Amino acid sequence: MENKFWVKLDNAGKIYPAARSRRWMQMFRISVTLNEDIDTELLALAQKRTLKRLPTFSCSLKKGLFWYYLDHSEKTSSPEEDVKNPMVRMKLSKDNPFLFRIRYYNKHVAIEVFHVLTDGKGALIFLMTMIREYLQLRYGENIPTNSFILSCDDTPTKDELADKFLEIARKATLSRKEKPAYHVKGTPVEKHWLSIINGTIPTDKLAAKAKEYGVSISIFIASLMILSIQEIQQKDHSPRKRKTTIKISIPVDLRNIYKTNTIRNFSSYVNIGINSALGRFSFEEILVQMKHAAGMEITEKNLNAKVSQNVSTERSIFIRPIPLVIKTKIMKMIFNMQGTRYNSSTLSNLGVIKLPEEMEKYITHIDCQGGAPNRNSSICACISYLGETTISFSSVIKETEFERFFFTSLIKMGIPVKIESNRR
Amino acid sequence: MSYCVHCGVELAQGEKVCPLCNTKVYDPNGPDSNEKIKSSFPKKIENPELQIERKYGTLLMTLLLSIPVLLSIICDLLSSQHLSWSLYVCTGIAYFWILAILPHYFEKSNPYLITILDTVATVIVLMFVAMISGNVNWFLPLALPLSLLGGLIAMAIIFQCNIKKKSKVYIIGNMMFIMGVGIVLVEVIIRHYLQDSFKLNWSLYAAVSFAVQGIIFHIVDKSTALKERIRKKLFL
Repeated sequence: MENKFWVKLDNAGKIYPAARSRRWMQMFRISVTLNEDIDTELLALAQKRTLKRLPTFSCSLKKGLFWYYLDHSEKTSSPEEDVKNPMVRMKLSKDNPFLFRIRYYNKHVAIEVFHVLTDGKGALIFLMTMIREYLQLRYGENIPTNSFILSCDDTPTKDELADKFLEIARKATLSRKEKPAYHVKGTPVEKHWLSIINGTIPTDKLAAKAKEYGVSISIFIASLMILSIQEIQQKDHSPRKRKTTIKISIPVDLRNIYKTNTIRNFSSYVNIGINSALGRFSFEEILVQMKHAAGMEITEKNLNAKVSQNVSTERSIFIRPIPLVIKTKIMKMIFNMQGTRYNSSTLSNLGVIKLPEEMEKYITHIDCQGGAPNRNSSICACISYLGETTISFSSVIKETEFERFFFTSLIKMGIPVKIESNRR
Repeated sequence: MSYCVHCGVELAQGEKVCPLCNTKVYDPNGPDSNEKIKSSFPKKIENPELQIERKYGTLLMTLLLSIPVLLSIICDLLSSQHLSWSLYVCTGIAYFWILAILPHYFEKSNPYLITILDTVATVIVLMFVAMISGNVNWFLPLALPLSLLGGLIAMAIIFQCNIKKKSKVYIIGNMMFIMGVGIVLVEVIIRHYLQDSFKLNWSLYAAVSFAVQGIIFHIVDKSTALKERIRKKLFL
């Protein structure tokens, strides 16, 4: 009998099955807009071929005695119609065991992924590889490949499937413990609803403004997020909460640092921000603080030590033999105690996407969104393509003060913003 | 293109209010309200039914049921230094668990298997009660055959319910016949236990009643006109 393909969950992915609840799982979404309506049959064929190229995506989540693992599934997955309320918790079942879903609507194609499978870059690789295949089927176009657009005719490499966390981990570790951060509270939105606000802005104007302040686009956006949260925090009735630190969690893609193209999770994060106990910060002060904090934190040594801490926990001889049932409860407790407790929001920047000309002429827009946040009320994701940067806020509260302050601040700086939302 | 007069942001086509401040969009040159605008967001809304996961639900119920079990055992031990009345409580709860909770543990439960399980549980519970009460005479001649008969009747009814090509009226008619036979067998078992004569008495009245009802249901099933008349008179 042929052995079925299976892999252990990567180090980052291990927490997500345990952390999920009946209504929530850590998800995210990337979507592209083509210049004409989607041919669903061709999309289904393209998805099928891409699944063969990237086998971890055709896996289901299974329970071992001690750990979860990804097991190859013989089931077929087809694209499904998109909905107004994206990233509703996946109902994993024997008939539909996949940890991602492809959705289409008019000219839009989107991938929604349970984080256990991969991170933003991995999902982008799957989506772009599938779109390449779709365009080749649709127009017979010969599109060149690159680091995030793969050919379905190639076979998966060992590097793509590897859990790189285990390879890079060293002995030096850094504690995960931090000071708790301020959390914006509000009226919860309806069940199964995620409020999305997309702001599209010209990348050149955003980059010019960031350059004017001498910071990167990520730091500029994160600083503006902090400024917006600070506005809300200063109105908080609790004096203690008004003095709590405001920190933004910024995921860092480790692929560039460790020169790999793995399709599994391979990113770390930094939680950086301001200490509100010291007083009210101006935007310039926040930028300076963030720039230097990022410089200190986003280093190979620092990121590696964080990863190594997680890997050492996973490798611990005391943790490994604990049955999964108990381990899941412990991991959930740790996730609730630490996890998003240490940040006020998240900023996932997938960066500037440059597609080959043969592909670019068919794709008009790309955007990405984070799934429903666990403890925070609103998180942010952004991506730049064809001179436009789309900054998307995913929120689970009805109030929009945070997003409004953020976008109107950009307007005041002379950066035009176009808003689109699924709010009702 | 429309702009929010409050926030200054440009709004995507189709936005009726500003998503940031809820200010109504007013654009005299904007698209007609009847004009179809293709929004980036679909109209379809996903609303998954939130069901209690079977396994989670059964485990939770098991946990809840274990509380009175533990409490009664502790109380019994504290008061009489040995297990006496608490055994009845534990047996009753265990029986309830098998009957009501266990079937929900399986995603696709087989009704025949569940019936067999319930019958066996009934037999065991009655045997247990007979043993702790110190009087086992009634168990073998009465409780055991009655339990097995109950299981058989339940299985025959399930079998009838699974007949796909027959109408509900036909199935109910058959059930009446099964019940008629069953009630006669109940009296036979009871008379055997009482070492009475096998001359049937009360069960005959019930059996005849069931048989008549069975025949009526079969007649109704055969006659479409009659069925229609009843439906016309009795619809809700």
